[in-house]
Amino acid sequence: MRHPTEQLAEYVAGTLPAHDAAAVAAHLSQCVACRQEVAGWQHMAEGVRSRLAPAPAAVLVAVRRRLAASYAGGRAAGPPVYRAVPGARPVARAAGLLAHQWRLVGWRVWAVSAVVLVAGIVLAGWVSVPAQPVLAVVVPLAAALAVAGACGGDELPGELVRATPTSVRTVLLARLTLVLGAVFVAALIGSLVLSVAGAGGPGRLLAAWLGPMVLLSAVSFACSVAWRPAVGLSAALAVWVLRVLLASGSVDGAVGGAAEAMWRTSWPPLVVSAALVGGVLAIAPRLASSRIVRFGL
Amino acid sequence: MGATVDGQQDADRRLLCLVAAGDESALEGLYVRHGPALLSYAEGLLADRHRAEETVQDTLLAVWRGAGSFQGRSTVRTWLFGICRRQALRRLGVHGGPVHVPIDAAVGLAADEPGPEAVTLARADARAVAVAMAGLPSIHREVLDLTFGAGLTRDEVAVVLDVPVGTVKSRLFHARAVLARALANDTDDGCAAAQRAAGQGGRR
Repeated sequence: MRHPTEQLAEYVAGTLPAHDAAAVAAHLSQCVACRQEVAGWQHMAEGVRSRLAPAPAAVLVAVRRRLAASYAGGRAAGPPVYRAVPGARPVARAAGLLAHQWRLVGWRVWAVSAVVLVAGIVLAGWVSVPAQPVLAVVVPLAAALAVAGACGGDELPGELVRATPTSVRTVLLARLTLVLGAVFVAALIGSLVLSVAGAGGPGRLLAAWLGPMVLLSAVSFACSVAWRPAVGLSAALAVWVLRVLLASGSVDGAVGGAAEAMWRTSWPPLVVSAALVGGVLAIAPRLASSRIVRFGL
Repeated sequence: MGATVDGQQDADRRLLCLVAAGDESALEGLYVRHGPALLSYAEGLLADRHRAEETVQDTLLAVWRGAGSFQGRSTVRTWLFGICRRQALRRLGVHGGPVHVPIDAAVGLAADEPGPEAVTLARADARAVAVAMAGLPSIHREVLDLTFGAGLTRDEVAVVLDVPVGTVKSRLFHARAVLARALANDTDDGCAAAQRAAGQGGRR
């Protein structure tokens, strides 16, 4: 005989669907063992229910008082607005937002970009004088890795996203600022150290990686947000590999000239990057909601 | 029975819509419907009636503030008990971390055949069961409170506890095993005490 052992607790709780409950009842009429099981659950249910007391009105009175207090605090009608970021002043708000994002961006993202960056700077100091070519290749890669990890593929529960007063755009922009800021400062310190060690002037070292870093980060950001981090990373890596091939002389011709013009700190890469980031931010809220729908969250 | 449950869910949803529109009496309606189970659940988690009442206050305030953001992806009562649980854990200083099941409780898991625990429980006095239940670890007590006190389905309990449905099932059986063991020990202690008393009486 197949015993409906697993359904008996729900049968006693009264939460079994009607047809299952009927099947269990039919089984119980023939099975002593299961009747005993039901008696056991029933005693447990009675134990739980014996502690249920009518809800005291004092709780409601206290809730009303707390609600009235919050209305008196300035809001006349409607549920008060939840504020995720403390502080009304813009600077305090921005600092709070960045601090929140600092915690939300996983440590792995920081660890991976730090490893790439440190390895690159050490390599630049070790093997090449001047250090520009190595920095121009390594710093953009570290930035693109960090941006893809931090800005894409948030699997935040939908209700949480909706319940947050900070818009998706602001959150993305905050993360981009935070991650790029961190990579920028780290690379700047690295460049200064290299410069002191005699690898070239600090201005030249900075110019070697700043433009490419911005461009590659923008590509990584745009694709990570629009699709997912893997796409962003692949796109950034494709651009990066192309540049490495060009630098090694494996590809030549007109393509080489055009790509080299983009891989320096000048107007064209900065304008392209700004356009990419701006465009993605413009459509980000719609992307976020469609992603939530797609995941059925 | 399914129809009754659906009717209750609809009533909950109607009340929540009114709460979202700013109707305080609808909040009272939700409290009247679910207050007893919420209080008993919070008390089980916190082991303190006063703090349980404060937790339910916090829950109601959170419902008042968040009613507009309810998306209907879970049932209203699942949402309520989920909020209550978070508020209670916050008071305990636990931030959604995993709750550990003691290893000895993992012995004697759900079998397909009726087990000996059922016999102990079926024979036990209802008052003894209620007393033993107060000594249960909260991980076991909460699954009993949600299942029998709040009358949540197994799926709903799984959502509130944020665990797979299979885990709810195994925790129910764990809870029963622990309770049955506690009852059996009580009975043994009672017998031993009686024997000791008899022995002393004999010597005297």
